[in-house]
Amino acid sequence: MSGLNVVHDVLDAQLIDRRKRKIGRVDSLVLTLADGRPPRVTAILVGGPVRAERIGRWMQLVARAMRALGRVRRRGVSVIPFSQVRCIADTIQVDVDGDELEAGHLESWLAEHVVRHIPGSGIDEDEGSERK
Amino acid sequence: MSEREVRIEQLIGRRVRDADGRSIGRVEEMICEIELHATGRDYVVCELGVVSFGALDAITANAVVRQLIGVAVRGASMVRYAIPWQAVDLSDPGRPRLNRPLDQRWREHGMD
Repeated sequence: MSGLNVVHDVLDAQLIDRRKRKIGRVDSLVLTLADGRPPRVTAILVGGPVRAERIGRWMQLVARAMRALGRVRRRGVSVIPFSQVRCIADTIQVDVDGDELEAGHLESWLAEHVVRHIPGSGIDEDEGSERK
Repeated sequence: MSEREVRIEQLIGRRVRDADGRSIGRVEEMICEIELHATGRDYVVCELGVVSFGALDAITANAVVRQLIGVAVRGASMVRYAIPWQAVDLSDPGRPRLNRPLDQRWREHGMD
């Protein structure tokens, strides 16, 4: 097969933002279907709830329970237009800022409330900033 | 022209049937090409990769099971087709269907 193999090459690939930071993986893709035209890949979805949907109903229930326990109100799903993709190789570079993505808030929350309390995590206990 | 959006997992693993309702396999891959135009580029799906495991097809809806069987029965009963998008009716993405007879030229060889 020639061309881009979407499932093999894109799904679950690591995403890199414009500042060269890892911002998660491709959890799903949105296809746009139109009569008489080929399907187009139009968006990348990133976020725990999307991944949970792929795993199954039981995982959706677990994810929902965790969100309720953590009192997380955001949906935690980011939609990145496929037009923002700059390069597809071992990783996928996208022209977005990872800080602006909703899916990144869970990571920030975990970093602030959980990971920073782990000795050697690299996150300053007092200032909450990551040591370089 | 009506447009609708579907998630890729709604298609992957779905059984593809021919015009007579016979199963020819399950959707495993989508092959895209870049289409350049004045305002940018589109990634358009030009072919659907459909894999059949013959008698084992009934239990291969799950991606992990498909991969395991693919390794276990490598080359034995696995048949892979690259079906052009024009030949697939996706009006009901949950039930993809061929709109023409299965063409053996779509069958891929040397997949190992």
